Amino acid sequence: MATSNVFATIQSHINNNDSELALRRILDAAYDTGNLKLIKETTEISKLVRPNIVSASVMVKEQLLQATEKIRIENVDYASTANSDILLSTQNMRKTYRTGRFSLDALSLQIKAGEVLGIVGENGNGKTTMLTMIAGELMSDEGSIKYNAFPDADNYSIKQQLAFIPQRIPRWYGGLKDNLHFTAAIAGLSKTENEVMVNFMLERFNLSEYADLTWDKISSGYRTRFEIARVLLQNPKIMILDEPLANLDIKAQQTLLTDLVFLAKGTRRNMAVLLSSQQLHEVEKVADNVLFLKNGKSVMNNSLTPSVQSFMIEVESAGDREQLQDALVNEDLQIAFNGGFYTISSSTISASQMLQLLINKGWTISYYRDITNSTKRYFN
Amino acid sequence: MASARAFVPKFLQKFDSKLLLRNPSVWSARTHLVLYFFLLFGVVCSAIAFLYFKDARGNQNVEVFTAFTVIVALIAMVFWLIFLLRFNVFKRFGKLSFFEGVVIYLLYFINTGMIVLIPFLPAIVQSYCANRQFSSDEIVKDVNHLNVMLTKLEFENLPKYWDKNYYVVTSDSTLLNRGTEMATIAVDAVAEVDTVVASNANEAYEDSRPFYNRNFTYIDAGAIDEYRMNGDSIVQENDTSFILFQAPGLQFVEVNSYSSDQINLALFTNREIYNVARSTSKSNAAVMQDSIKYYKAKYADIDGHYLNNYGYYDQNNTGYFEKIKEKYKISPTGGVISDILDRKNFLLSEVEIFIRVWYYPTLFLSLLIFIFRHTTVKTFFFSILAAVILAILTGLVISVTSRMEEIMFLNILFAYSILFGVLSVVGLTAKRRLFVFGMSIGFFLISIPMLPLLGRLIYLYKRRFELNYEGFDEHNFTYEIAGFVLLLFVIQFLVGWLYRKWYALPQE
Repeated sequence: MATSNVFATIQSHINNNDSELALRRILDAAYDTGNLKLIKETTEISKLVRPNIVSASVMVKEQLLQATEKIRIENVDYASTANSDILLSTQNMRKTYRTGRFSLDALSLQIKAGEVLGIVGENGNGKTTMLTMIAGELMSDEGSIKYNAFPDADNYSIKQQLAFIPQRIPRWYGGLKDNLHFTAAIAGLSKTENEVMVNFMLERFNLSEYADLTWDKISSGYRTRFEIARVLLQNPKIMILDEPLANLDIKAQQTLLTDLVFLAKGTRRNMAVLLSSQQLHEVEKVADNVLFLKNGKSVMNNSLTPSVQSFMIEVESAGDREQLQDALVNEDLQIAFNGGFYTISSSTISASQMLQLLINKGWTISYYRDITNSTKRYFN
Repeated sequence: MASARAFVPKFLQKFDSKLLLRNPSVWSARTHLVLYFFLLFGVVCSAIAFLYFKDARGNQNVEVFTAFTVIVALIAMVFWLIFLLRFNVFKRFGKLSFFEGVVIYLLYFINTGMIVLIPFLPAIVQSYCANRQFSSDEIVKDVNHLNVMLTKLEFENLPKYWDKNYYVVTSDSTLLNRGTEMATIAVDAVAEVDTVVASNANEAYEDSRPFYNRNFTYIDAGAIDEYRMNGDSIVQENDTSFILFQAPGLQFVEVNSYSSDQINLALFTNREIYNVARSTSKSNAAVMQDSIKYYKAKYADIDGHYLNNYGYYDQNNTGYFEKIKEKYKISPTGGVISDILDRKNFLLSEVEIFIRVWYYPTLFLSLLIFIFRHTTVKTFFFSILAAVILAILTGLVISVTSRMEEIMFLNILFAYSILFGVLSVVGLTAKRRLFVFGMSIGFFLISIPMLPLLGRLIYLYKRRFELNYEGFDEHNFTYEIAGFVLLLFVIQFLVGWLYRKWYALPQE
């Protein structure tokens, strides 16, 4: 993301009273600079602003604008150092478990710096197997994984720079803040840098008021936030998240995903993000590429550009299936019902035309989604 | 800033926070906190123990104190482990310094050492108090003086004839195995009297007839030489026949303790007491009585422990020895002195034993903790299971082997060490994290401190006939220290690296 775009986005959020969003972007912008002084100052501003953020008062706006201006002014030489190098590639990576019940078929992929790769698929289709192999936790039976980001590094060094957040976050002990300090320290952040970065992460992920709490005292959603804050302190080049949205409410899911995109696409500190999820639409909104796994096989592995041969929509209505079929009987449409939604597809009628058709037939539609380019179509 | 801890002063909390930011490995070992609580408990425990053990003459129940401190040590160990296991730089793939492995192991060793030392604190304080109150020379001098005075006062009541045993020297091994038997032995007309006890040999040796029916024992020449050195009196009747005399018991102040050799050697033997009492002028009896009273007060049974338990004296079934002791009521004095000497000895003659009793649990516990911190939970517990199975199998192999020798056991231990060392290095070629290699690293590490001592024992055992078992117990301390140094060297330059390679591998 270009530097000017960052400031324009922040300005837009402030103008539209999206103060919470603006604050997060300001913090991201400060983090992206890597300027410790700026990060510290922005953290202080955040601490000052956050208690009144909901009111979006004039004072809050002013403070946010001042913070934005500070970042802009103090970073006149804020040139982008982001790159799009290939950080990781796999070639025909396969895995069959000893029980023989499941096999992950040959899988080849590449992931670049600044890229977000979403991995979707139903339960038990190989998402976790794939991610754990890429994270170096599980051995593949065949094929290779090449960590282009860490040439000549041994497994230990690779794991230092590759952050993996499993679906079931390992329990940690002690205070939340102590854990962050510890992670920062073992990643090489010492003294002031450690203090500044930990305070920043606490503020960035809205964890400041929970800093002294332990595992038992915070919710699973906050544990996910903590885990992300923790791995970010390691300044990883590749971040792998297995089902990070599982424990989050809908708003938190949205927040996390947009945060990940900003963190991945920083102008200086960019990284590759691999995340698996069942939340197809949310993932598709932010991912550059989506990999759909079905029965251990990659069904779709490309960028989200329209390339499908049929149009497909998902609708919810009070009417029953027979009425719908009767209404659309003369049209070139296929109707499927999964118990909750109707899935209507056509090779000739576009999604918007399908919607128009339904309205014209007098149908009351309570939910509509175009899934033509979504991996959701493969779930049927 | 790290979270505030209960019972920890502010300065230490500040230090704790600084350490967390600067050196997470050292911080996570928690040595600073273990040291603080060890010192805190040590001071309190020592102060209480000091008050309790202040007078070394008292009836002191150090066992109760020790039992309490054992519980404290166990609790301390559990607490430390809980805090230690919270954070692990290695398992979090953190940045490791060059001396990471050896520094971390040394910190574990120090922490474990402090905790293992806790149960020894009461005994150390008790020993310190006893040494502070009475010097060894003073006690030896007092006991000898008392025994000599009692002998002098009761000289007329002592037995005139000494107990004796007959020995015949032979080199025939079949005779040596026979033990004691009865036979008629011809004795030369003139007996040769041992010069050491010439003064009293004549009165002791009343059986100077040429033939006797005797119970005698065959012994070899080496044993008779030893008797010559250590016996109370010896008379050589002819080339092979000897009579050994035993002086009557004159140690009325009985020191029944595990005294140091130095003290035991300095205390007069019965013969020495006899000789001194006989050869020195008889002082005024009243003066000696006063002197005995003084010593009895000096070593008084202040708690009445020995006085209260003084019910064993049987008027109808006692010899001169018991009668004299009863007459002077000297038994409690001997009991108190024995207790004082036992207490003193903990920091004197028993230091080497104490160091070993402290060192080996510290060494193995710290190694187990180090291994646990560098391996997976599954591998660690499989290792314990494997160690038990291996010990049983080894025991079976040794027991069914027809020629069971110590050397075989030593060789097997040595072979295991080599085997696990080789397996650990072979594990470097593995593409996945197999627990057999993780176990091998652990076993290899455990065996390292034993290697120098093991090598020396194998060497000495192979040359045992040549060396006649001499020197087996010498220099062991040096080899044990060498083992520890070797352990640090191996952790620094091999094991730390092996664990790093092994742990980071993907699982199967």
